[in-house]
Amino acid sequence: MADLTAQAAPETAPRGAADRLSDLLWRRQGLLILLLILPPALWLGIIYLGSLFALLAQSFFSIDPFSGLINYEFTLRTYAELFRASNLDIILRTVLMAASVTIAAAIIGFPVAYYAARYAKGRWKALFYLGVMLPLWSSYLVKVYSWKLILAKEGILSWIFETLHLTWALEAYLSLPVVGGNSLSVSWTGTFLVFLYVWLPFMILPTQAALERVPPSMLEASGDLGARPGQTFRHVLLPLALPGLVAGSIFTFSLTLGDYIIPQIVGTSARMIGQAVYQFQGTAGNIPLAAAFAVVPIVIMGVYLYVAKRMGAFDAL
Amino acid sequence: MTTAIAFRKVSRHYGQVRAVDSVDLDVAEGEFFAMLGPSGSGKTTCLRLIAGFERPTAGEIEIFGRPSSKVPPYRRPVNTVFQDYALFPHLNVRDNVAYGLMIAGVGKAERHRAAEEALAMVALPGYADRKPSELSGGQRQRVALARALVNKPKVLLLDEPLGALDLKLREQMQVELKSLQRQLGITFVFVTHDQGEALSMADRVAVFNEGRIQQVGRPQDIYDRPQTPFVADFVGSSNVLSPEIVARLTGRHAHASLRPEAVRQQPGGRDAQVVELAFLGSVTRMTLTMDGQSLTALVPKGQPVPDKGSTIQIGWDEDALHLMEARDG
Repeated sequence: MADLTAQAAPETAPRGAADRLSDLLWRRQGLLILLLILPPALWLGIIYLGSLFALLAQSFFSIDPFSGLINYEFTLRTYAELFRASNLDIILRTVLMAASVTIAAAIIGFPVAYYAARYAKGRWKALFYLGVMLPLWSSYLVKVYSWKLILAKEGILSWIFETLHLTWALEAYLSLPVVGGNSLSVSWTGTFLVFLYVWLPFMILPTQAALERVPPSMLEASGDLGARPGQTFRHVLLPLALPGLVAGSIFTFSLTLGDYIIPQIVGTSARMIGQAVYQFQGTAGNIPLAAAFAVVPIVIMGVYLYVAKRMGAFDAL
Repeated sequence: MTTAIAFRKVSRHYGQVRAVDSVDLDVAEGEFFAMLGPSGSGKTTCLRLIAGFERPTAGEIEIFGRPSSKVPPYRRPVNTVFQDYALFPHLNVRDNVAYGLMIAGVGKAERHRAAEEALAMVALPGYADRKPSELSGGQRQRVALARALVNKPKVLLLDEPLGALDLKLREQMQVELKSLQRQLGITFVFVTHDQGEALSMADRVAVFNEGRIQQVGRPQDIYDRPQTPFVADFVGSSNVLSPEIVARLTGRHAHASLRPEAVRQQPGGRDAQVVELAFLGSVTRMTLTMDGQSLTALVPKGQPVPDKGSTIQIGWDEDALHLMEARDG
């Protein structure tokens, strides 16, 4: 032992520039963090948030109704315009759609996420990820157009109903007000189905991540203390999965709020917020109103997150 | 005496793995019963079978005389203290403890009062408003205990509840658990891999190995009269002498156990080489070889410790050598 300590080697000298750089960053950890965080901070701060604020600033300007030119004076007139009946309709319709898509995605997504988190192992888990992610690999437009064909009057869905001699049920459903229409592809039901399909992975993945972190012993403990599976779900599983469900709902909700392609291709001619923004900044040339419309989803999401926090959705984080 | 838990030829196999293999066992009401064994020996699976988290692949477990295989966990008169405590992170300590009562439909004021009482019982009053994440390991352990006891279970199952605590706290909790059990009169089934814990706390101990029970008995009997080489080795790390050596010593061909503390230096005894020395504080542990047989012996503090590599003479009392039936290898 003694001769070993006597021969204790001195520290190795730095070899080359890479070693010296590593040494410097080891001594100055602050510098390392700064180097790592600076590029994304610049990107996020200036290019992303900066342009967002530039857009939002537009919402406080107004458009001259005669010349069509933008009047660069601070005013809340554009916001007042949001509350016109036709515009309010657009907002209400979009929020309702986003809410129903989110709730449906949560109801469909939760069991899938639960299965993947609790039971799927190895190859089945890989298959789960593949199954959930695969739809994201193909073009969004292709998927939406495929749905248009599926939902069309001559589409496969009608054919299935016909083959099962259930055409009368489909007809009865389509004759319902609001959700019905000439065919599924030009109804709100169609828009809803496509939204649900396209955004479902964004609900499943965060929910699965949250459920993955719930130790099995937690559910066993609840049962051990006398809770039936339903009670365990309500009092333990759901509160613990809530941060994941909220994260997923942020995706499904905000993506639905802002989308303008799906309602354009599948559904009725009534507009949603995304379409309104698209038209006001494009064909109508009314940038201030488009900007004001763009503020709406931001405000709604802010309120939604605030309420979720107040209700304790993030307590388990 | 009423039988609280009875295993009747219970097996739990996972494919080829026999986690629990044809176990017969009776736990009496009011008993402090320890299941002792190395990891993977089936003791925790037995506990989970009693709680109902696992179902036997064969056999039947009776809880107070009633077959339990069709009874789900939430209808069994048992409660569990989990190894990782499994406290609900989104509830504060009070609501954690009151959880079982809340499920049972007990009113808010009533169950909160019961929770406070249970917390006082485990010496943790005044912590009701904290979240589990704000507690130390020892405190969480007490909350887990209170959460189980507040339901007044007929049997309390404890899965290595002291495993995550440091030595001092563990010894303190051993004493407290034992006195709590006496005071409440509840049947405790306690799983541990720590033989000292099992011997010091339990009324009876079952020693598990590879899914089977090796021996069931009072701690004293397990320690003094191990029935298999495994028990001799695992409980108190006894020397297990091979049949050849035993044949030379006694003329009988069988395994035998010899406690390290029974081996002493004795001039005129048998020759043994000192292979290794380890200072353990109050004793020094010697590793010896005698006729090719490895032996452990203890030298109490104050007695002379021989040099490593030297040859010493050792002996032991006649009845210290305990012959074992050759039940397994």
